[in-house]
Amino acid sequence: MLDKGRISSVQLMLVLFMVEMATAFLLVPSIVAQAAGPDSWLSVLGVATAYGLAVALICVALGKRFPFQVFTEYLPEVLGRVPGKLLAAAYTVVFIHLTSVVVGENSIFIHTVFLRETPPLIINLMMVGAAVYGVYLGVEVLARANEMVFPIFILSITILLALVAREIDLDHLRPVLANGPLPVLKGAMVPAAWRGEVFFLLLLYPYLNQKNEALKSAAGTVLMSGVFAATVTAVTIGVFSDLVASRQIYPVLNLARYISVAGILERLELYLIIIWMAGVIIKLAVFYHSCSVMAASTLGLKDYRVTVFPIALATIVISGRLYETDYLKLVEFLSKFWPFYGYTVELLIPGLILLVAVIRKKGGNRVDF
Amino acid sequence: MFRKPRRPKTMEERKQRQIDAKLEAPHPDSQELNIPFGLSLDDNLALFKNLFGNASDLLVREFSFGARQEIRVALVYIDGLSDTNSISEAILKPFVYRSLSDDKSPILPESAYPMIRDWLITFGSVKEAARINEVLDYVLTGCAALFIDGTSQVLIVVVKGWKARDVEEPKAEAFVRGPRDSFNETLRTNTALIRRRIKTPRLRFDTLKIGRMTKTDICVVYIHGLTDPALKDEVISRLKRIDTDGILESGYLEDFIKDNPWTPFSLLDRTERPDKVAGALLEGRVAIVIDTTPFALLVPAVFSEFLQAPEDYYESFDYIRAFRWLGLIIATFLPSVYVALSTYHQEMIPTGLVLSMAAGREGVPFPALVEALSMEISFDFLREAGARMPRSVGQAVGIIGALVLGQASVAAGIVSPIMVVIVSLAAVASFMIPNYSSSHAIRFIRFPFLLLAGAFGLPGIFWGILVLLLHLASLRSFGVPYLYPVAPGVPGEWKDVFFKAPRWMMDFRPSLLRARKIRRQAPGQMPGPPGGSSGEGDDPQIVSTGREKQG
Repeated sequence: MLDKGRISSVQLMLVLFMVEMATAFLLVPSIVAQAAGPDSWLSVLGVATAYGLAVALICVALGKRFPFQVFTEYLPEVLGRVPGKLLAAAYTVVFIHLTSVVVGENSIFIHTVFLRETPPLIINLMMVGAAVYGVYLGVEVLARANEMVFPIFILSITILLALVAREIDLDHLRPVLANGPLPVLKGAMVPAAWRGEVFFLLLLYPYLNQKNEALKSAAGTVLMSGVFAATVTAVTIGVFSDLVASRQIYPVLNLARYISVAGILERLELYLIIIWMAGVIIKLAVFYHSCSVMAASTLGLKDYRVTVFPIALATIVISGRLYETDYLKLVEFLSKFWPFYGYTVELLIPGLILLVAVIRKKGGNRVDF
Repeated sequence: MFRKPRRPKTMEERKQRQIDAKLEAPHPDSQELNIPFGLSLDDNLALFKNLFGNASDLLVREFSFGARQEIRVALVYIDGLSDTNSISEAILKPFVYRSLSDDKSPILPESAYPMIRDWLITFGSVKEAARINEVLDYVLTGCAALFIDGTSQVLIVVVKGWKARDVEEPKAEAFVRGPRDSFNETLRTNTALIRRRIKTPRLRFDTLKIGRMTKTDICVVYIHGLTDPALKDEVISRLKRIDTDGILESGYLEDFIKDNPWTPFSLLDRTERPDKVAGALLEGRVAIVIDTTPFALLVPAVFSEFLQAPEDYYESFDYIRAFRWLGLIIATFLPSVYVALSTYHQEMIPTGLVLSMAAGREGVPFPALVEALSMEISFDFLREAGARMPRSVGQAVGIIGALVLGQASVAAGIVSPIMVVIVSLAAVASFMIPNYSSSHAIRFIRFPFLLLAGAFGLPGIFWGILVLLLHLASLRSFGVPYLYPVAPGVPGEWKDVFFKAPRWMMDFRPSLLRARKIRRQAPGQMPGPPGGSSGEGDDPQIVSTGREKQG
């Protein structure tokens, strides 16, 4: 194992929740609303959760077979040396790309909404710098810091939603299933890919100190984030209606603009940056940690920390080349390519690996849940 | 006289020799002094005097006794460190009486030593030593050494007694309710103050000597069978690693035994209050008491502890703990949040307030960041000057500070009135943190946060908070995570973090200290009206049975 840290099952659950929800709560509502209309919350709560549970089951099954290795470490064992290493390298590249997407999401949001005159590069350097600091400290510290960040995240969103609750018009959410189940399924495409990020369990499993509770925390994460994301989506659409919500870039940001309490608390969109940064730093740190562990294990290095810095620089450059500050390019990727990309990486390939491992009898041979 | 030093054999030994040579003072275990005395009294005394270079505080009293004055003896002690009354009563007088007694038979030289040791010296604590470095150590700590002609054994009479401060009220930790004694500069007094509170033989004091020149006594205090032995061993092994010329205060040790040397946050607690030490020991912590300083160290320490005052536990109802957290947040972030709001996010401030702020800032030539930084810096100047000045001058500093920083700078148009309010509020809030040394960290991190606020506004501040959280989460104090019990979360133990639960609810000791006995008290001691739910409880008989049980 490259990182000596130990995390508890509760910590794992909270970390995975952060990975799934940190960016999703802001970006998903408008994308879902375009396809699923008033039933968006059903897509998020039902279909996406089911997909997330499937990913969680496969990941836990794989984790149980190889309890002390991360995904890329046992690929060569399952597939044979050359194909295994190749797939591991491919995964590393894919994850570097995914991390660049998160970096892009972050700099576009902060740059276009809050720090208009700060160059995106500076924003990236700060956020990535904080995340890389977290990676250097190790997964155990990340999990512990997340225990402080998680309540901030949840409390802030809850307060935000509670303060706009009086603006909700239930007619915006009715009628339920007016156009049949098809829009609900279509709407679930994008959020499902996000929920599949529970896949990071494969890279955190070795650090878990109570391995028999892995399924509980993974499933708990998927369910918790299902309820959470559905609430955010429902409130957004309840306030704006699906038509308006789907035409906004950040509908949740506009929710915050609706808040007015006793004439003192007004224009609280800055409040959102607390929620956003809290989540994104943790999410980025987990992504960078996974990338660097993958890279180090693929290359056969002893210390994963040496790979963090080049990977961080690479992601900043890649996100700059891919998106600059162009939200449309980003949202095009997120709504058109990311689902299929995500399904392949999160569900299909790990599923196949599990199948091969079962057939070739690799790893621990018990698959019980 | 001295044996020739052995030739160093290994590389490490040679290196150690070189370091020793550069540190000048011989190591207490060095070969040079680790040799026995000779048989001749004159040689021994000459050697001893020579070691001290005829220092004026080394007193050597030579005399002889016996019916014919046939046994020569010399008493050596350091003036001011030994109790002269005890010396004359317990050492000198018996010799005179023996010489004047009716027993005129001569004392044989070989029987003189056991006779003096066994029944001539009328003092409780007598020890024997033969080696030069042992005797040196004893004499330097205030014992009297008795050299007897014809033997290489030296009798040590522990007649330590020097001028020490009385046990007084704690100077650095103010409070309203609670015991008023505090440690002083004498190790024995301090250990006695602890022993007086915890009357069990399982209270242990393991003593070490640290410092080549100061040879300071360091006492590691713990309760045997309650404190995690691994923790105690870790403390002792970290202390034993220290090799320096002197330990003058607990702070010297602190720097050597911290887990993370590069953090402004203090990873150990220190106190001059024996009740606080006793409380910590009962939780399963380890205390380090140091001779020559009234400040004892407590390990391990976690962040939330610095917002706990001993008085919290003496007052039964207390909402102040929550206020301290608020104070901590205000002390750290209020000035930077103000800078961020007034520079970048005016739209978030209510209209009426923003107008009055604008009116106040009219004519102020500097941006808010410069204004805030200059106020903060001058406030730190004031605080430092006030703490270091003699009390008579300190008042003048206070008056000048109030006038210059408050009124005059506003009148002169250098700062806006609201900035004065903000900075003073933050300053007052920073005084709410009960632990002085840990408030240094808060004082320090205000400045990076001000710069972040000036550069990036609120997002910058929040970025800083997250990095700070990462840093705090990475800290450990003797293996215990610094943010415990919040992260890693042990919700059952939050009853002493954000508020203080009543004593009868705190049945268990903190679990991360791995105390051997986790239960502190019998469960279900919630007090209530006697006799249960019905009104019959007013029956005086039931009250009295309750009392009998307690007794």
